[in-house]
Amino acid sequence: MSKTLGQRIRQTRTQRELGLREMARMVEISPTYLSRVETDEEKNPPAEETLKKIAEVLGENINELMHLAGRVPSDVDEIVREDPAMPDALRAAKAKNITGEQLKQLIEKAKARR
Amino acid sequence: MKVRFLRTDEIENAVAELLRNFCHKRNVALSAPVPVEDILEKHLQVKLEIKDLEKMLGIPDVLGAAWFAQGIVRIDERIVDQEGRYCFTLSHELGHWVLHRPQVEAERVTRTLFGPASEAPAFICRTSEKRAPAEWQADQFAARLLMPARLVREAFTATCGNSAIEIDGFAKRRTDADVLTRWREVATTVIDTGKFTNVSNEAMRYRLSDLQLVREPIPSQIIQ
Repeated sequence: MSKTLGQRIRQTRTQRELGLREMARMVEISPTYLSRVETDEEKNPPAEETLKKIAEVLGENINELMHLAGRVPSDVDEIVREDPAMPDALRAAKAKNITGEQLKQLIEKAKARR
Repeated sequence: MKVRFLRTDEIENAVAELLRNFCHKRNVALSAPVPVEDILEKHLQVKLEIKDLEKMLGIPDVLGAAWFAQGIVRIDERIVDQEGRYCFTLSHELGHWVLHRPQVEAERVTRTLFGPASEAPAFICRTSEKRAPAEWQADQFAARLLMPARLVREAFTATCGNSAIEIDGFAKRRTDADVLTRWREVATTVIDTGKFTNVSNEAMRYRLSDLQLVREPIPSQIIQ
């Protein structure tokens, strides 16, 4: 897996045989901006809406792109804001070194028991 | 940088080989507009970046530059929306890549034996620069790549017929309004007919002249 958002976007773009300007047109951003993002020179990483379009065009996982961009998905942000117990639950998971993947497995197990 | 002298037919052959390989590999027929970005990025797998080259290199009027060692071609952000200029610059850098990279790489290997490799671009292409041989060769390459002779001739013949367009004063008065207007009209017709949508009128004018499709009338022979 690539280390940065830019490397990841460029790698997938070339794997999917999309040109720089071609992809910029599809995502409705300027080629200059896309080039800056790909070389990790852009101070402002793409907004969620732009990342969604990039993910759609490249067939990428939006959560992974959001993570690489250092952004929290707006729906997750809302979930945390709406439920005061949610930050505590996340802190507890962090304190117990429970990974996101393990949390997913716990939820799946809980679903299966129902 | 000093480069080996190349005849125009050598440049023509280099373009033909590149186009042949590209079309063969991608199983497509050659047609205009020639997808020069695809040739650079997808076929030759060169990294393309759009940058503020003036800021990056600290030199004014830079249109494009090639970093052979890093495998990168960078085009100045100021021309990205000028289709003809952008594609010609990109094709010009492709010209450096195909024609001059082997020589530069060979020299680099020699240099790195005696010191660290340079991070500087192998070629910096500027609007204001006097045409050095390497730049002239890259221009010739770009014109032939974007406007292959066969496609230009086909588009020309479809609208202008089998004979060249002869313009009085073409040899000596190219910048005069009457000559320029006619020359420009022919270029526009060929661009539209041949779908050369990534070529500027100026570039097509010079190509038509090179191919002798627009020329000075040939004086009739005096029969004694």
